[in-house]
Amino acid sequence: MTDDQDKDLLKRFRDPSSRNMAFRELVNRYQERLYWHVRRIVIDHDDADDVLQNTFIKAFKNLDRFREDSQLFTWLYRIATNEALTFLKKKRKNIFVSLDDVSYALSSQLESDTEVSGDAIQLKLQQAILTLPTKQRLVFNMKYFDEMKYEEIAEVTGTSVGALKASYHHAVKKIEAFVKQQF
Amino acid sequence: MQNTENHNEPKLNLEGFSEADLKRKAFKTPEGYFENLTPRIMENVRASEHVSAKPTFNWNRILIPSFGIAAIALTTWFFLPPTENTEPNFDMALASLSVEELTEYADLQPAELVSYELVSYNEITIEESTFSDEEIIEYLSTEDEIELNTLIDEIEI
Repeated sequence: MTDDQDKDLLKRFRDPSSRNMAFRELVNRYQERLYWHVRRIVIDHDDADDVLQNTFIKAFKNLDRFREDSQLFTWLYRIATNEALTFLKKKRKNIFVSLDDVSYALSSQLESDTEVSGDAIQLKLQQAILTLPTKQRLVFNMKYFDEMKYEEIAEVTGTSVGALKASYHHAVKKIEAFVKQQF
Repeated sequence: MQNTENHNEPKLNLEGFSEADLKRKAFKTPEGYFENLTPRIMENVRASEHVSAKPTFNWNRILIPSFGIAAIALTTWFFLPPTENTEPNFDMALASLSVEELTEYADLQPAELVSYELVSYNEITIEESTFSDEEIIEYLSTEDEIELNTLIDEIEI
C-alpha cells in the first residue's frame, strides 16, 4: 500500500495547479535510489542516465493511471527495470550481435570503466553478479543492495515470494563460489 | 527500509570482507551529478509533455496494417495456380535469363532443387487468420509495452 507521504504527493499530482511541483518532489525523492538500481543493471553511467530520464518521463505520463494497491516506489522500480532491460535488449541488437552474451560485454566494460571505483572486491562482486541469469541478478541487487523485502521485489518483478527466495539463495551461492575462485 | 523479515535467509559470506565493504558503492558518478539531476529530469519531462501535446497523426497505424494487407495479397497471388492468360512462356522466360543466372541454376545441388521444384501447389495450404484487424492493430501498437518477464526471458544473460 502507498504510504501517507506518497498519497499526499499523488493527490497533489492529480490537481493541475500543483501537478509539476508534486512531480518535482517525486523525482527528488526517488531519483537517487532509481539511479543506482538502473546503474547496477546497465553498468555505464551515461546509459543509466538515459534510462533514468526515460523512466521519469514514463512515470509522468502514466502516474494518473497508477493504482494505489501497490507502493509508489515499487511501481517506479518496475518502470525503471523495464526501461533498463529494454535498453539492454536494444544494445544487444545494435552492438553485441557478434558476442555470446551481454554480460560478457558488460563485465569487460566494468573493468575498463573509468567511473568504477578501484576497489578490487567491489569489482569482483559486480563481475560475479554479472554472471548470474537476469532474474537472479535483479533479485540479488534489490535484496542485497536496496534491502527490499521479498514482497516488494515481488511487486516489481511479478514473481512469487517463494521463487524469489530460491533465486536469492542460488545467487548468493554462485557469487560466493565465483569470488572465492578469483582470490 | 531495513530488512528484518527473515533470519534464515542466506547471508553473503566472503571471507575477509565485511558487509559494509561489499555494500559500498562500486560505481562513481560525475561530480555534482545528483545536484543537477532534478532540474534536468523536469526539463526532459516538460519537453516530452510538449511533444506529446501536439496533435500528431500516427502513420504507423495506417502503414503497418497496409503492409500486412499488401503482404497477404502478394502471398495469395503468388500461390494461386496460374490461369490460361497468365501461363508463363518457358522459352521466353529462359531467353530473358542471363548466362550467370543460368549457370547458378545449373550449379544447384539436387537437395537444393527440392525446395524449388518438388513442392506441389496443391500441397500448400494457407491458414486463415483468426485475428480481427482491430486485434492485429492493437498488438502492433502495443509492441513497446512488453511485460517484464518477457523482457527477462528475451535478454537472458
